[in-house]
Amino acid sequence: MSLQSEFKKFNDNVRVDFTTKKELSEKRDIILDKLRADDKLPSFKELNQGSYAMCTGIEPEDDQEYDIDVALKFSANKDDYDPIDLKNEIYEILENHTDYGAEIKKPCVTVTYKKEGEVAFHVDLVTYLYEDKDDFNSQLYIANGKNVDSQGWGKADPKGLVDYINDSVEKGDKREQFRRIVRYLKKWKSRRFSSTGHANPSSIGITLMAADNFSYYGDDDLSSLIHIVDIIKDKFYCVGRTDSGRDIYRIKLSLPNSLNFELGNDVFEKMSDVQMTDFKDKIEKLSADLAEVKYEADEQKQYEKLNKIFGDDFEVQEEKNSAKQQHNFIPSSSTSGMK
Amino acid sequence: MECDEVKKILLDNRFISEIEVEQSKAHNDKSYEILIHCKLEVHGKFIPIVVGIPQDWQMVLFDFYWDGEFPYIPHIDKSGKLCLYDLEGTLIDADFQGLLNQCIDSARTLVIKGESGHNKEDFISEFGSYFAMLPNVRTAKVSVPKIKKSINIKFYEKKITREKKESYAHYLSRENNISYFSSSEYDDFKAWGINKTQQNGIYLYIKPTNTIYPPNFLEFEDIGFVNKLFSWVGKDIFNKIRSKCGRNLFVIFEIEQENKITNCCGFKIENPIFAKKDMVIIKKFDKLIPLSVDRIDTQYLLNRTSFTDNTLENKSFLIIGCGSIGGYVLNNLIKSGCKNITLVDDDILKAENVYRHLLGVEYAELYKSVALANYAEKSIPGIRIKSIVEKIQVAIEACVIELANYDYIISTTGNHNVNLWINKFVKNNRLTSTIFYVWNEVLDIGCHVAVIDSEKKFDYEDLFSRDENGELYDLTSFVMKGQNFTRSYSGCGGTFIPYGSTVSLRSSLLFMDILKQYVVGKIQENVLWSEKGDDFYLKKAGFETSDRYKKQQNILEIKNLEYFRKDK
Repeated sequence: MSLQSEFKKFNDNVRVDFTTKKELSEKRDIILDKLRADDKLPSFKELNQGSYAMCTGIEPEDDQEYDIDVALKFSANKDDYDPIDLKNEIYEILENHTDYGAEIKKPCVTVTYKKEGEVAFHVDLVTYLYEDKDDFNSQLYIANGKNVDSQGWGKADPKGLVDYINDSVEKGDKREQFRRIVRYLKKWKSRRFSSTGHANPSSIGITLMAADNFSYYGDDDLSSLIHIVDIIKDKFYCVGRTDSGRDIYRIKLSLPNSLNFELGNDVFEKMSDVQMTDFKDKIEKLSADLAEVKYEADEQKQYEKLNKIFGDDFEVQEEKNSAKQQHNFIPSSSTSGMK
Repeated sequence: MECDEVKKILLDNRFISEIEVEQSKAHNDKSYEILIHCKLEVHGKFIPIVVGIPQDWQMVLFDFYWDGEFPYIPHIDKSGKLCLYDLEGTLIDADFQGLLNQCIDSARTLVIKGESGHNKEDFISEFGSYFAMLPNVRTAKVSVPKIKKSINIKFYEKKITREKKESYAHYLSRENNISYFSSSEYDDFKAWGINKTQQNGIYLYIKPTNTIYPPNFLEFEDIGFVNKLFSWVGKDIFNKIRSKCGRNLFVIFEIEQENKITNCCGFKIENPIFAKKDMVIIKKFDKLIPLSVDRIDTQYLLNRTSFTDNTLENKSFLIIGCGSIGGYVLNNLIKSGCKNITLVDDDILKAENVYRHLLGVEYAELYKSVALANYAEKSIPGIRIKSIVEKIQVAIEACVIELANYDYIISTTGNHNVNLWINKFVKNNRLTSTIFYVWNEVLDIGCHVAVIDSEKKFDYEDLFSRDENGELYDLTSFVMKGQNFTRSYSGCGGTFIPYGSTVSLRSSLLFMDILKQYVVGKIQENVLWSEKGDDFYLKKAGFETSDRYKKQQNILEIKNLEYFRKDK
């Protein structure tokens, strides 16, 4: 048993397993077949995007769900459609596909599945159209917006982004470590930020920062993780002060300039200044906590500290598990007499 | 506790954001060791929250306030404070991080349930506490009538007088301290020491077919709520009882909700004008004062002590003997809601009794039965205690007492001779009675309760036997026979058996346990319960314990009398 082997065990515990991936891809294929069978839609080619395509997916927390992002590259000219048109079509085809139906969101149409009565996972279908449908190398545009009022086209390069991430680190041990580090960061994120709204930093933001700054540390995931965390921590810059006197910070991070996205984009644009400052505070805490782990001489205590950071997926053997499920600190008692 | 430590804990909580932590700050007129301003994420909404950490958080936990405008949902008071835990009946594990995270989870759950309406019924179970938060509310102590129909009641208004040099504004600010007392029973006014002028008020019992929730204290629409209550009152009956009232109406509502929970609230309505319609509808008034009702009727007050419907309340009891055990037995009975009790004793409470009697020197030189009756009537409103200053034998033979008139008879004389006489009288006269005999043993070595139902096999006589010489002896006794324990410091008339007050308390409690089991049918045969005490004082005084004492393994032994006899 070594710290590295425990990290790898942790990685095995958090990564999305093959069975789940298979189930997700089966559901995806059923949906795609249904869409293809509908003659109202132009033909399309699909492309996996997001963590599924980058192999950085993690098991969701208890109150979260698995997801798979699928890019639908329609053989259609964006000038022949309003952005909301094809999203509406997809919605109509799939609205009765599952018990939960479908929902049009800003970047996609989401189809939610339940399993044993609970929400289990969802498939996000992202609509792209070409500048010129006859030239598959022409610019792709993502259909944004929930309705006519909020709709808009945005330059996008889904394949370029997946390739950028996957190719950023050479195949083999290095890429494996990179993917593990991203999973650790995503696990930390899911335990420290609410998954609703825009309070949590986007996964693509974290993955991009990890890709751009990854250093291979051999059999030492902890040092590799600390390296990335410290770089993220240092990327914040002060942008002002709140009325109550709190300094506020941001990171501005664009999608790679080499890819065909809108200029001036920012992967963290949806987060408010205060939310970004929370991100800074939390990553600083993570940095300090990881440094404590690194300089802890007692291996058992290292595991306990990592368990506290990452939860029970980072297993602590034998000794008391310090971050077990929160137990009841206010049990009821039969004694009385206060009133 | 340091700010940095607290902030680190909060940074690890995914539902908390925008954290600002300050040392030694006040909020809502309360000082806190640490005050936190933050946002609590609830279903995608970020609620501004203030968390106050008092110095004694290990005892009282943390205070969570909804900062700014908040919705009217259960468990939030008018200062925005969230009621996360009722500290009564809880044990606090003083782990700061664990407690803080648990309170955060609890706050989220409270908001989620409140906003989704999942805990709306909590408004009903805690109706009174929400009503008490209405603006300009006053308090009324009300003995809610037992009879569940709309009737006239009496009320007394305890006014505030303006003090010399007191500004009018200050006097007005104290007006909310005006309080009321109300009951349909004259005795309640007497018992609560109110002998001032009473006025006529109205008690309205309503059974709405849809739930009536407490009015929103954030935006109280007074006439609408009052008319909602009046809509369930018959016009004719209302006019009849209203005709006996003055211009200003004092109205107490008892609302029997759909789920059988009853809620009470009231109003003082100055110069009301009612619409001339078939229904009771107020058109206008000069002033409407909400009255938060503190119920003082026995039925309500006993809720704290009874585990099921109070089966003892309407039973009649005869206590024979008002000494040490009798006093504690009476006290236990009245605290259990028993109201119909007769006491028989011809003895006078002396100074030497007070260290092992319920009553103290203020009752000295009174007959014990009279003194106990006085004590009981002062303690519990509406109670009726009859005292008979006679020996039990005289009272029965002179027909002052008819044993058959009582549901339960308790002999607490601790005197086997009196008990054997009662036992024989019941047998000879073929009376159908259940008698509880309660007695102590000497020097705190134990106590006993025998339950004898005259219709069942074996009776009090079976607790005795004769030895090889034909001498009668007590089979129940924890002390070896043939020893003399009586003491006297004042000649023959002042002999006594030494035992302490605590053994009388124990025997009275043992009796209550048996009585409660008996009334619910858990005791079917005549039984003897014997509780063993420590033999330290007995041995120290040079006495010997009996074989029974030595053989009894457990503190408490319960024996069916049939088996008890067989064992002997």
